[in-house]
Amino acid sequence: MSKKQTTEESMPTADLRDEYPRFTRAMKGTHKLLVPNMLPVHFGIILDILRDDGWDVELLTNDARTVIDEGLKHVHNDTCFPALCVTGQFIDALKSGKYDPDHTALLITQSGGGCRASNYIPLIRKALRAEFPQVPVASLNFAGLEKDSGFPLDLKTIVKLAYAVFYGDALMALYNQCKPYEREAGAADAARDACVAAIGRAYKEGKYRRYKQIVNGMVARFAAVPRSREEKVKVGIVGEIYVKYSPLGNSRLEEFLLAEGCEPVVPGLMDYVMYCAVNNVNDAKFYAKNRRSAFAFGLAYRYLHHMQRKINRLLARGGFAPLHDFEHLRKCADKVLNQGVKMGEGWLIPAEMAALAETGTENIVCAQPFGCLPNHIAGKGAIRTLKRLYEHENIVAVDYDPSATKVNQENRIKLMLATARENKQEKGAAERQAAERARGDKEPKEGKG
Amino acid sequence: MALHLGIDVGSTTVKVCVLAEDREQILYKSYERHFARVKECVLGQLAAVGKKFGGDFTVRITGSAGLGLAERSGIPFVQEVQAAFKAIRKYYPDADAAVELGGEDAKIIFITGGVEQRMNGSCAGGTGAFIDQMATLLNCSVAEMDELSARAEKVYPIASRCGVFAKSDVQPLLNQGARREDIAASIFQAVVDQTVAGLAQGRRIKGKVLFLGGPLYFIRGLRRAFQTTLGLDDEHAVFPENAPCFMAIGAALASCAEQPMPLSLLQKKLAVAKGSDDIVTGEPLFKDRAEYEAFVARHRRSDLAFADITAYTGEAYLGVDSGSTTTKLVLITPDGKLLYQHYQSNNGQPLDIVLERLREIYSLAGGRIRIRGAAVTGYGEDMLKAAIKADFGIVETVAHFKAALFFDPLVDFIIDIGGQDIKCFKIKNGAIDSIMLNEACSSGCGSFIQTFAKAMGMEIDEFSKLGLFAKHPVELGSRCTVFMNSSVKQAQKEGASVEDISAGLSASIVKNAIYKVIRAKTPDELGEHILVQGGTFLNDAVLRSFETETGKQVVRPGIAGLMGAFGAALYAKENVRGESTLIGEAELKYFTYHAAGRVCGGCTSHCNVNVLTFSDGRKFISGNKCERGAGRRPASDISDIYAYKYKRLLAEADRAPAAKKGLPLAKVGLPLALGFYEQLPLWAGFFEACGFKVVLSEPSSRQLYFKGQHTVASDTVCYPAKLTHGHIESLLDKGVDLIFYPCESYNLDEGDADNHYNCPVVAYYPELLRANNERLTANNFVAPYIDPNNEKTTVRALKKALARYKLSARRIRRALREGFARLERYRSDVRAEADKILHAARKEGRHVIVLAGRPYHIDPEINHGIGKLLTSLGVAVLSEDAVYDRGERVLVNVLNQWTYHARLYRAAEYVTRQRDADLVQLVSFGCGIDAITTDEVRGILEKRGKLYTQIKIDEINNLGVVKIRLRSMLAAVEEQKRRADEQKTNN
Repeated sequence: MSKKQTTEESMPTADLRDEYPRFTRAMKGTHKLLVPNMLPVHFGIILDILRDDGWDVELLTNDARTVIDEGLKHVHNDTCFPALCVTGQFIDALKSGKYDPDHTALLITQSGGGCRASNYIPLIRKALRAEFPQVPVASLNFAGLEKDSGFPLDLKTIVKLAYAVFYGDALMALYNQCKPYEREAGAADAARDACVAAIGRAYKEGKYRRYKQIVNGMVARFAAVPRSREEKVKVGIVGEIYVKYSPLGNSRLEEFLLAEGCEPVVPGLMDYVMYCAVNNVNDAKFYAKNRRSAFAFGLAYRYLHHMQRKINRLLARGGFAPLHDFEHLRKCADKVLNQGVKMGEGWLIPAEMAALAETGTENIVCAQPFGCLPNHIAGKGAIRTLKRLYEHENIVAVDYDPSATKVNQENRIKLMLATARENKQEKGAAERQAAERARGDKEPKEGKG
Repeated sequence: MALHLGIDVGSTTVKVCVLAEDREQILYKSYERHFARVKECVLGQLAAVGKKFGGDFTVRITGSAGLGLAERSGIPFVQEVQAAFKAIRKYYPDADAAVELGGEDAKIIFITGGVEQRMNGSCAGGTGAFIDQMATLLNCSVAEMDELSARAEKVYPIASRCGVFAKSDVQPLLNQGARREDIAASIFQAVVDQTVAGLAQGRRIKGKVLFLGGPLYFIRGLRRAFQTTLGLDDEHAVFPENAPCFMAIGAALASCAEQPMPLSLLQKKLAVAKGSDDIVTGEPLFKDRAEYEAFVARHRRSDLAFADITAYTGEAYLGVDSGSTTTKLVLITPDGKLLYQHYQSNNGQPLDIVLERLREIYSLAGGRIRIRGAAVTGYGEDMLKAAIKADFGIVETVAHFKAALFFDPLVDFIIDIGGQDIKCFKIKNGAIDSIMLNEACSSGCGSFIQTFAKAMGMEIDEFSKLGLFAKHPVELGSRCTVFMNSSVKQAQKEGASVEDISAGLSASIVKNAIYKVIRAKTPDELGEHILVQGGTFLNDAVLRSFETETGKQVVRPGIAGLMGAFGAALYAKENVRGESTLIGEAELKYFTYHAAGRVCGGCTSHCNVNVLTFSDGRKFISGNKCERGAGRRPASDISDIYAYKYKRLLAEADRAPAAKKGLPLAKVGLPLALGFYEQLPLWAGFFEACGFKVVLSEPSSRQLYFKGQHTVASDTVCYPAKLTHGHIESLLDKGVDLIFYPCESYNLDEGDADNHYNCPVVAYYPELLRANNERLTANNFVAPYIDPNNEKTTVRALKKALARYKLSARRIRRALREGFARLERYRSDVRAEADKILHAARKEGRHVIVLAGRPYHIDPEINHGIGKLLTSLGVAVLSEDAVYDRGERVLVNVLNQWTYHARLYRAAEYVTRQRDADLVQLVSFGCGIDAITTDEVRGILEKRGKLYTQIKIDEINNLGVVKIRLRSMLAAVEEQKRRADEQKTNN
């Protein structure tokens, strides 16, 4: 229907690219790979796996003001905050003198899609060109991007990574459910460290697919943490993938919520992975695009979802709240907007906000970089619909930016928390009343009988 | 039992209130500005409380600045909106909503119809701080501004979402001589619009509304504006007697459940509260005084020689630089000695200053000096040139370059930081090679220091000197002055000294210039011979920061603030032929003028124009977008493809009479927004072929924007998207049966890029509209997901979406093909028109500008008539979609995956191969994707030796800055051409 396409190759072409060093498999023995800190727990497990495979990798933990300063220097003001954080963290690390720039490469994940976030790699390369032109950037992606600098992935590694994400998600959920209630300071952290070690051992011994044993082990370890029974305000964290998880990106939001006496509820990373897979399936369904790869993505999705359910069942059996079931998330999305909204975190954000409300977490921080494009629609734009669907849902949208003051952000979150506490009190009062009434109803009945 | 004490520590004031035991009676309340000395102020007020009341108190702190204080002193805190809510429920149980404006926050509480509490986002538009800033700009107190507003005759549209933007709107109005009364009223209206749009976001503020907080209590003009805008009568708009202390009262109410304590304990807790260690600091500017002395001595070498105006006899040249915030004037001898200099803040009246100074010059000269020539430059160039009949009006960049050459003939980099703008030029082969100007967001840095010094009760000199020997300059961020302002306040509350803040501000401005405007990654990119100028560089702290940050020694002329004027005078000297036309001494004596505003009725733009009438009967008109407003005939639209495209596109709507046979199936509304600016022919063609009547929304206008403003969900989204809300309202008002607005993840595949996405906003805006406009239903809003590249699935999606009209798949397919045929016709017409324009321009030897943006930039409300402006400057205007197919496919560094953006690259590639064409990129504020494309387009152009110019547009209506930018570029292009020709003839 559109005019006949000229094939790309037949067009006269001007190559105006700048030169950049490629990342090759051969660097396995010669280069150290630096990884930005997005999800401390997950990335810790993943890095262990890569190390076992013979890669020299290191998770960056530098988070001083110089990171943001380097980011500001090298990234356009209007580009999103995560790009600034990641680039800043890389450059700051390279400048620290701890790494030999001639034998260092940077590793970053890339999802591909209509959001500008797909352009992080060119942005990082541009930043490197000025000061560390010899440092290559490797892309970890499943979309066939950056063919000349892709991180080599075979099926086995992919399966290993998938399991790591599952374990990371389960661990994060268990930790967040124990940490606010631990009777003995640090007990939950000790449990987490023990679990990370156990997972690491499982991978080393090649037994990482024994998910039942591993998850049950984690559940048992956390169940042993002595916890108080008091009820705390639960606060969900959703939003753009980087600021949602990264303590550097969200000014340590989870710690802040813990200090405020709340239980943070953070949806898993696997949801994002499945979201990406489902989008490929949807593209084929909606627009008949890439049918063949969509079939593969469909298979992968079904496998992952099957795994997720099994792990969730184990968590629930151990007395912990499971992670969201992805099919449930999709149903939640349909209530708010179309699954066609697939750029950035797209429909996943409202889906998580709805699912959180339906599973008893009505207070939500929707974290986004200042001026985030997909979030205009799927974040801020969807809040109205969500509030109509879930009367008590209490959402605060927080913008993260290098120049926004912390007070400004915290004050808004505090407003949300104040409302949350009030709602909780009212609910408690209503429940007590209902309970009393129920008792009142019961007694005369018994009298009659 | 105990009394109840509430302490509200806001960003600018401290409020304290004491409630009686029974919580009914308010025993005491006070309100005081804290000037960042939070703790002292609170303690002072508590001492006053202690004198009046004995016994124990329950207490809670509230307010944005109270947060930290409460934490560190261990006194319970209550969030301020929550506190207000408590007080409202107690005193005004029948209220439906409350609006509260504070120093840096704005809040709305909806009470009936679902409780909801909202606060403004990180941009602090529409708050007390914003009003303070505007008052400084008008050079009056807030109270005076209030009085001024009562005498307003008209309201100008002022961008309200942020102080920086508003300033960019207000400053030119001032320079053009608009009445301060009208501007004052316009500012208050801007605050109201911001609150209604940014905060209420779709929920109507109605019923009985409470207005709280300091600004709303003290400023009557603001109250009036709120009442009229919301349509509230006196009964429904409630301005409580205790509005300023309302949060404090709420905090007192909230404290009732706390453990009572004696006042002395409370005072002790506060007194021992530690300062925060949250502030990030940097290195001092100077180690010691000796280092500073050496620095000063080095720069003194670039001072200019003086000549005594009261003794000198001979010829002289006058240069005037009418900047955005200051007016500069110099008189020089033919060998460049300074006879007279003047530098003054405009205080709103640049013309008065120039007239007064000119009179002074004439009187000092005592007839001994003959002014041979005069030139004017800067924002107020046109107006001043007309008023004082100067010989020349020249572009700022030219003036600055001329002046710089005088100081260093080898200069290869000039950076000018003025009050409002930061300008940088690279010089190559004796001509300006590239120009970098700050965008709206980072403007006003220079004058920010001044405003801030004033707020601290200091002169700018005194304030900046303080920074020189600061021990720990604070890190203040660099996005914009609004964010900086809030960082400063936070730093102050956390105990940073004035010295440290002064030094921190200087560093921030420099970082902003280097990393945001120049976008340099290493100092070497700047050059070897750097010349710094502009009033802000007179500040030694700024100069030092610049040298430290770049690691280079630079030249700062002693007349750094006067370089524009100096350059203008030099220009006059070089170019004057014959007698100067400058206004003479005798004529000047009786010269007066009168300013008035009116709305131009020349076209649908309805520009607000200002008319200055001079005493000799001449008139000067400004504020108009085209020549029509100035009473002249407009330059023809013939060489402007933006005008052509717009007209051609609108013609798509009422093509065929609705249905050929019988009644139309239904009236379908198509919003004239975003993607429709290209796909309108497709969808109009499709629906007409299906037998629908196509109705278009009305043309965009500011009024239309306001109409839909209440459904805007995100105030940082781009203006083109925000306008869409108005178009939807317009269609609903027109009574269409359905509005059709497809969601398209993918745009048309033009086969030249990695992918062909739409940007997320263009792709999914219908979802946002549906979610935020209550008038839209599943019935009247049809938004199917389609990929226009795939006929089969598109037909399927359309068939399903339009199921109720029972159209056959065959009919849809045929209609769709008809639509695509019409789209193709439209596009080939555009290409043909481009040929025509190009041909004509080449015949007449006119320069061609490819104004490269997106299809929706043809909307005159979005481009603000930049096409017209360009044609009035004598160039022909093409667009990216008219030329991209003449460019080669471009391999770029970034992922080339958006259809519209791929065209930019190809258009740029095309331009680089044309000798008589240049490219200007049009960028909408808030466009995140253009953050990526701008660097790439710039790279393509510069790699092949072309200038890159970017124009950022938003709802800001003022073309003053844009005009300067375009003229600078054209002047540089001219110069380069001239040099190239010279070289050719020499060879």
